[in-house]
Amino acid sequence: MTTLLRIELERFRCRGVLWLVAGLLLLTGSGYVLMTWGHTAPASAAEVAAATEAFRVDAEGAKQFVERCLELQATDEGNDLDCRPPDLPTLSQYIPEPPELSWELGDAVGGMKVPVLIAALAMGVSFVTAEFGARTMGTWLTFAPRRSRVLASKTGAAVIGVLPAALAALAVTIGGVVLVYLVRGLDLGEASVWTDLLRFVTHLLPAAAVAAVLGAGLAFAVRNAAAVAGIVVWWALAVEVALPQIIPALAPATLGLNLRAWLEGGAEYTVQECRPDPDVLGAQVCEDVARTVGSAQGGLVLLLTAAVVLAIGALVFRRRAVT
Amino acid sequence: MTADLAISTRGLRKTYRKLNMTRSVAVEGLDLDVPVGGVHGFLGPNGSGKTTTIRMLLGLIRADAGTMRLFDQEVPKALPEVVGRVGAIVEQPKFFPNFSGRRNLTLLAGAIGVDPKLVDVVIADVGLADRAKDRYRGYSLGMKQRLAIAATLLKDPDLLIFDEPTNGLDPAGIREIRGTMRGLADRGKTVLVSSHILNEVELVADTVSIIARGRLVASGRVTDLIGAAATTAVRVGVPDPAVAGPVLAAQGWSARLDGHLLVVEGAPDPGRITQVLAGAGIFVNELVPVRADLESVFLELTAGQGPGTHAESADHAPHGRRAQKGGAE
Ligand SMILES: Nc1ncnc2c1ncn2[C@@H]1O[C@H](COP(=O)(O)OP(=O)(O)OP(=O)(O)O)[C@@H](O)[C@H]1O
Ligand SMILES: [Mg+2]
Repeated sequence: MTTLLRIELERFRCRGVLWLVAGLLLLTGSGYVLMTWGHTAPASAAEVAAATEAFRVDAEGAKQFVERCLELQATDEGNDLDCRPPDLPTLSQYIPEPPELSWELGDAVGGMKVPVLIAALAMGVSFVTAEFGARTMGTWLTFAPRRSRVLASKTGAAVIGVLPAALAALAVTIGGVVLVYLVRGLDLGEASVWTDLLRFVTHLLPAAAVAAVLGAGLAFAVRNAAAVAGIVVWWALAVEVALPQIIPALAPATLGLNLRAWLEGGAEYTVQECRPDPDVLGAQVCEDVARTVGSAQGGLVLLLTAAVVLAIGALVFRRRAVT
Repeated sequence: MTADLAISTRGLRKTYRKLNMTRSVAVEGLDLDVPVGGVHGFLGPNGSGKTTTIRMLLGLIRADAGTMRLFDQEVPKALPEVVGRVGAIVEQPKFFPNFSGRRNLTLLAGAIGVDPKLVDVVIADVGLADRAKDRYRGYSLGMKQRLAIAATLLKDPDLLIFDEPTNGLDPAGIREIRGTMRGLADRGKTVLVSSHILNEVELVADTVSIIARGRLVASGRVTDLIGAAATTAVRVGVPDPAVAGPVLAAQGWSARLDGHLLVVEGAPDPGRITQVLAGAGIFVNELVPVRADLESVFLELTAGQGPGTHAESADHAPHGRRAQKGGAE
């Protein structure tokens, strides 16, 4: 078994498409770093000039207000006026400030969530369908005839292979954003930034592993990348989007909600609760009630889904002809 | 006792679902026995079920019914145990297009725990050493086939199953494969080879099984099968066949013209023909006994059972002809 896993990892390493996906993921992370670089740029001369002008106009207005007030105060009807000058903002408040690190990091890492998961799914799918597509599975089975082991080693290799790619992409994103703040000489903020971040990353990586398992399971079940893509799109539209709109109470069945719950420590959804109206016979009063899915429940649902899909893949793989 | 059989199937059956939801029979009650040792030809017209049978033996597809044994072990159940003893090429085996031939084999070697050093040995064996580091994608048809053969040799198997191994090979390659198969058989290995090139099979095979429409129609030693179909016809070359014909016919022999030669049947031995013709002042310039070969046996046995011919109903299926193993010449 470990031999098979070692071989599958070697294959994973040698597959160009998988490197391409990993590269795209890194590119996405770098994109967020570039955006941070833009957000944290010091105000340009024009911005400073505009801010100075705005400040001057406001300060001038305040001065005129005080002068007018004092004039009125001198008259009879204005003697109860309070003519203390309003608190003038300082010039620095007119110059745009860079966002806080925690905000920028949350944006970047949160934005990496979907790309990481899609990449993990795609890598799992591609790693398995490539073997069927190139029709090498038959050759492989004459060397390793235990199909359950072939499936397990392939899925395992997909998981192990996906994690470094996801980790690298997240490291580039986080490291890049922090580096931008260091280079700009900006404040790194409070330590709580890091605990939040750690929590998110340590939940995203297992989710990526589950996505890889899901991809491998789907690929073993239908053997064709295009068919898997079709199933994924159908699922996304029919179950993830349409189902909760038609039957809100079924929202916890969607992977999206469970994923959010898992990653963000819980997620809310609303259902309508109706009961007979005590005042009008036969009528009902309804109200929206918020319900939550806990983090653990979300994680469990994701895990179970992947396990079920993998089991279906295993069943199909064991029974269907390989040519 | 079946212990001396490398392959043995009983009542093997496989059907495929057709578009109209009926099932077409690819293999129908096949009883195939391949003795241990030697080269065994596995012959049959297109679509007769050779590849299907081999796939079932290797556990790539499921049989609908029947039993299969490899080295007296029930497959597919015992496949993990015996697979190390069986090297197989099924139709055109595929490898990873982006990996070099060498890396492809190294990965396979890992699966069966073979010393990776052996990879270079088998690659050299099939004459692929120069191209071993190139991508498989860029290999020619024959080079791919050579790599596939190298892959089967990796296991140093006791049984080799070659489904059309010479497909795409040049004449030198075909001859090399023949040598390889012969060499393996001489080392006590068993080779099952399916091929349409019957001269090839005849040159190398010790025993053959001929199937048609998924059933065995004949099996046994090549010499016995050919012997059973042998005729006593002789091709005779004479300066003027028109004159010689009636002379031969007068002896009660049939003589018909085939090209510029006369094909004479019914003569007790070729010597009598020369004698009779010489007696009539006709001198023979060529005399060749018409030898039955595997091709004629094959064509006779499988006539009308190829894919392009009209289907026969099941009860008119040809009767199996099984030459006695080690029977009379
Ligand atoms: N995957 C499949 N689906 C449906 N029918 C199939 C399939 N594979 C084979 N067949 C049918 O099974 C029969 C036997 O095919 P098989 O490939 O075993 O023949 P073969 O003896 O190897 O022929 P050839 O000499 O052309 O290689 C044929 O009628 C073929 O059409
Ligand atoms: Mg075939």
